[in-house]
Amino acid sequence: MQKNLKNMNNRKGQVLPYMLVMSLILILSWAMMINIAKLLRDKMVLQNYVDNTVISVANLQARTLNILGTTNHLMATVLSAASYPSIAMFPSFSTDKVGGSMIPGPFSDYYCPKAGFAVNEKYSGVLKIKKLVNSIQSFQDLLLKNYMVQSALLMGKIPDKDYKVFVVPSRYAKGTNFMSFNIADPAVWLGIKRNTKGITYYKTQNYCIDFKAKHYHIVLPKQYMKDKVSWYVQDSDFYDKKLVAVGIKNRSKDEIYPLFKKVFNINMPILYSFGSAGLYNTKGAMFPEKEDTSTGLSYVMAAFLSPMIAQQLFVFYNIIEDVNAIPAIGQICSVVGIAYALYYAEETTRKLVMEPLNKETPIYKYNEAELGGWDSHLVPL
Amino acid sequence: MFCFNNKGQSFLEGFIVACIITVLMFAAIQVCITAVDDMYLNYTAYSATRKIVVTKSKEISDMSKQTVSKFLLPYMLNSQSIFNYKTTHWDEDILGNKSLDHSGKQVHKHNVKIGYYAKIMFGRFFNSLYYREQSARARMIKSPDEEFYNKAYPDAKEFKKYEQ
Repeated sequence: MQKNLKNMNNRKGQVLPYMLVMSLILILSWAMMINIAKLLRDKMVLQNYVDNTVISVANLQARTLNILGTTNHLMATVLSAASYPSIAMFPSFSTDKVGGSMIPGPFSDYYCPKAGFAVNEKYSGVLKIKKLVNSIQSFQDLLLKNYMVQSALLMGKIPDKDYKVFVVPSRYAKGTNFMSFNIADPAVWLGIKRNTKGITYYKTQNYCIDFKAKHYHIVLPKQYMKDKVSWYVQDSDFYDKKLVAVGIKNRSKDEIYPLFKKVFNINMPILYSFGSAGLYNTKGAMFPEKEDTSTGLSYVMAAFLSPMIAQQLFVFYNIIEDVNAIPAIGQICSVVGIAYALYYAEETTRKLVMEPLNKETPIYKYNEAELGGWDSHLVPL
Repeated sequence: MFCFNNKGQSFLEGFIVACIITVLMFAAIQVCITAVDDMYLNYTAYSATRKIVVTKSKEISDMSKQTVSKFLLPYMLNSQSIFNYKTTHWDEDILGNKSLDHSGKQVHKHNVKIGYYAKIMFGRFFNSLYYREQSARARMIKSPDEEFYNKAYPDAKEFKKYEQ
């Protein structure tokens, strides 16, 4: 009895139950706050991942398009230096008729021994043109592959394994369209395709003859090789330069959040986030709209070609003068010569004047859009 | 005689300790609430700013207020820990300089600030002001080429609108 009374008078642990109850409330409150804060943090982080990934992929695509545009321009410039041998050397500015250049140098197939009779077939110049064009095409293919690899790396670069971000062109972003998206085709990503009009290369057959102590030279074409494709042009979806990114934050199996998930049988929701970025060029598309054979002409190339054309016309003048002196048939032949010279003058002048204004050529398109350049920014969904 | 009565001593000790613990616990909970409010309001400001930077200038006059209201109304109904918020949106030069992009257009920074009052639990016991003035803020740089939000280049068709 004495012992029991002594026990009842023991006041140790009086605050303990209160402490326990309050601690429980505190811990539950903290857990709730931490869970909400974690959810908010996850959502913000996911949105940041989505925005950063989509703008990075768009930037990469913009840079790729800029380099592709530049290489398109380079390819067309090389091809515009070619000419078509048809008695005289005609500037062609077309992938239908690509022969050695009339500009002296490595691309020229114009061969003249300057004395005596000679027949010579040359193709070293046009072969160099072809090799250069093929190298540019290979470089473009490499660029596109690099774009694919870099895009995949950007999407996979997200450090947290529970976060996934997928970027697709907006036309493929919807469920059913997504299935038709060919992820391995970079041209589908960029909305461009190769011009399938092809390039036909010609050898130059040089014929030389001495007449009346003067040396004459005529050239004729002979088909050499044919390539199936040339530069890149716009595909039907080229205008759609919007990329849509979908971000997902999955539940992690080994994650401790939400706190007390086993006690209350609760789970963090799967989070989704969307973002989109657009590519734009303030000046123009940079790529031709349609498949065509015209290369276009830059004014620099026109400046190089003009003296060559003038030189050809001077040769015509000499031939007509000499032929005219031949008795009986001379005058008739000189009239034919004059007619051909006029045709040559009209044809070359028209091409030199009109070709730089042809809006459907890679050179025009590039010059038009060069100052704008492809760039990227976040756009509304 | 009264002074030597030990009755109620433990009660008094317990009461004092309980008071201190209660204050500390509620203070800790208050810190948590304030932190969550701050995070949510910052997220709201960030979302409003993000929406502004992808919207054309002529359409953004009330956008910040609308977006903030859309985010905060459900939150306020649930938590009731914040009230009387005020949204301000303004644009300004970056670091006080007129920054130009590569095409010579001026680039602006857009700011959204949400000023709000955060309720403090049992604040009235200590002060007539039972709230604390807080603010959340976000800033982003808007693209200077907003005419290309819907198309890629001059004369191009408009982008398809993505619907979730």
